[in-house]
Amino acid sequence: MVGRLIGLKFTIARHSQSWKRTVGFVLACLAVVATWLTAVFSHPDAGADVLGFVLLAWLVGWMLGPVLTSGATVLRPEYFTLLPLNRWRLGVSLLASVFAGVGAAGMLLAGLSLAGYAVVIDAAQAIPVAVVAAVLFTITVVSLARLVYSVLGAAMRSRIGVEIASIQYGLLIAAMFVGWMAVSPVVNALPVFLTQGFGGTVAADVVAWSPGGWPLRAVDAAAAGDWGLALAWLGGLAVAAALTSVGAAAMLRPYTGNRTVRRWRRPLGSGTGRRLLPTGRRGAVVGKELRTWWRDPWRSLEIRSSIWFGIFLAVFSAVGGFAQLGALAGVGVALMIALSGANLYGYDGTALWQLVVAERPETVRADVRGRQTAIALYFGVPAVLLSAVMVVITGAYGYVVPIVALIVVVLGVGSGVSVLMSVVGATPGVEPHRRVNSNDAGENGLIIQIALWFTILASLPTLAVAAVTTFGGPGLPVWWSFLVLGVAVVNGVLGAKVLGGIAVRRLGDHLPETFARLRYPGMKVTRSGSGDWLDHLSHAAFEEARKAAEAKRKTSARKGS
Amino acid sequence: MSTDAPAPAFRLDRLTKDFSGTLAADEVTLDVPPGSLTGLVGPNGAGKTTSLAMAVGLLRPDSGTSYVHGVDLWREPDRAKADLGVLPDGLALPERLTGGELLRYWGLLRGMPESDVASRTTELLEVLELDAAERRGVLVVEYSTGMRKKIGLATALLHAPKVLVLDEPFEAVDPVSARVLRRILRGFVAGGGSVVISSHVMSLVEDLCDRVAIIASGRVEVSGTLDEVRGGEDLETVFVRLVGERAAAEGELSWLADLSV
Repeated sequence: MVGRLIGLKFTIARHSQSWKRTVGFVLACLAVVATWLTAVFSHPDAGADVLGFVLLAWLVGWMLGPVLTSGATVLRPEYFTLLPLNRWRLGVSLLASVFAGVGAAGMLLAGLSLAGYAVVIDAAQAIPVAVVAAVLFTITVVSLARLVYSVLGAAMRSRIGVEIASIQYGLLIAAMFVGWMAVSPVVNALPVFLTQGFGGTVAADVVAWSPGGWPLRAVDAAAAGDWGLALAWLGGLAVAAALTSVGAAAMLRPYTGNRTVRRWRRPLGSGTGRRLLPTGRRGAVVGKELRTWWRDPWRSLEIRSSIWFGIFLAVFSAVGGFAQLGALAGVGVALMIALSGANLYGYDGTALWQLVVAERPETVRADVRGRQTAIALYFGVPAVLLSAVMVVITGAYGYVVPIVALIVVVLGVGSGVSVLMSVVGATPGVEPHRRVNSNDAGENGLIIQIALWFTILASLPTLAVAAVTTFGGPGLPVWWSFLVLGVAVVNGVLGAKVLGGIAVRRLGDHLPETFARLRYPGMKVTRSGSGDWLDHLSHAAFEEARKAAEAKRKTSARKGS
Repeated sequence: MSTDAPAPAFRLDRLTKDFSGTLAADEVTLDVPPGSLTGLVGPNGAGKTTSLAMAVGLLRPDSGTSYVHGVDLWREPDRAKADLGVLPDGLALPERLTGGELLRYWGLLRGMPESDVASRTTELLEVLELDAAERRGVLVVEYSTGMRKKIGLATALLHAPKVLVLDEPFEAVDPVSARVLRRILRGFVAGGGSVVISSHVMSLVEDLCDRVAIIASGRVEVSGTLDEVRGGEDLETVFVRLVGERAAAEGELSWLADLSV
């Protein structure tokens, strides 16, 4: 069965975008080479610290990587639910198929750098231990990665799981934005690190005791001739490999339980919400959106990872020695509107049919404006609260005016950009009632990039006056603060009105086409446009989504007609 | 069609759709008179769903259009769609709302007065036996397939449309609810409304509909009153004759029933 599953995996992989495979292959090669260079060329005194750190980095990379890419779900266990197979055997076979690939091969090759390390420290007798340690470490890492990913998938059925996934996403996005702040002290210290390691600090112990350090301890023990200790460390690795493998195989058994956790009470907002919400078309949309933001795990993931992004932003700033920048955490949360909300219609899947069959200018406008109101409220409240807390913690009271201005403008402009991108770049994911994994909701990388930069660009007037306030010193007159806030309000409201207005017109003109993009993924549905920039952008987004859909369509048995 | 026939409540007028070289609908034309219940039948992939999707505005046709009480749906969508109630097959809904919340949202979005929305929601949930789930706060995403069908039907009925277009309304619906549904549709037609349903189940169409259209390979092969189409035979015989049946080959699937092995 393993052979067949591996064959199936490669067949499906062949249908994925070739550049992604090439990039993956090149990155894996580079990482292997870097690991070997570290093992061979770092100073013998520092070698254990450095290589241990690098192996730990491999482990962390394996745990985080699959969450960012959708590659890990090539073979979904639920494809095989109906086959008369032993569920455990299927789980084990699926796990085995994970090992057949560039990633696992790269991990093994990188692990074998332990043998290079053994040569560098002049202990050829430790090479067999190094090889065994590399194999066991590879099994541990790959199984652990699959285990973590599956646990996250299962976790999307519960609040706590969504929270864990959110922390991961928040950390990753923060690392992409301001990781340099935290990394710069490390980079500056790199030459010292390569020659002296951690210099006997706590960090050295942490790495040595972490799973990344175990293979090295085994090799070091063998090098010192302490074969009993070497075997003990190998035994520890073997136990770790066995535990993670059994755990991963268990999680890879097809899940046949409920999709949602059983509730014992009515969902939140079903009673009181009604009295608080405005009536009328727009109120109806705001109510639906707020409830969905609150109750849908995939949307919760967006807001929660945004909040965690803000928190990590503050943490990284503090690590980098710019603690006062932590007050910007709320601006970070607000900025995430443009990213998290760039595919609102895609989140809802084919539910857009309701707007199509109820089409009127008023309903389309209510839908777009209602979504804007809901997303600005839902991200705005945590943004303001988080910045307020951070201002109190860091004592950066002097920055309150520019921070309030930035939150206001980003919420306004972001809500406009979000609905406009959602209309122009509507990208289908897995249908809402069939979602399992945290990255099933569908996203369009191109649109997210444009949304982010467009939001910043459209907020420039406020950014400019806020910058003057921040760097202008105490000499600015009192009225300047009011001017900054005034500019922010006008900039934000205009951004929301104008961009939202374009979204309303665009959706009104292209309602069946927007629906078709979600209903028939990858199918070309033409509508003679005027050839303006929105048409070009829409076409580019469509192509991006089409390529992704092509690969996906071959793997998922969708109901079509 | 004779000249004194009433103007159709719903008309599919030469609807054509080409899916990258495959003609899914080829000048599909159909008249649905007021006060009639028309069944649209055809084999899998015949173009029923595609034709209905074009007729209700969900898919832009390459050519042709549809009319709701004489209003061109693709020229004046807001006027035409106001009179239409639609139940598509297998599409998503706002999944994280309860049935009651979904109907309230839907009614208000349609611009209905709040009091009407509230009273009709309560009545529809009760008639369609979704009220117990509503009391427990069950979300649409947690509904069974049959319950999804029923809440979809409730959204189609809520604004009291004049024409109902229902794609496979009886699929996965339990027999008791199916009786309720038949009663609702008959009452609707008796009051002057018009209904188009698509179905694979011939006996259901014969039992419920007074008109029928058979569609195959993207074309309407025949349409008219049930008696005209049947011409003294049963509907399935006519259907198979028009659509064509693959002759069983000698020894076909002989392994299937060979339980002695």
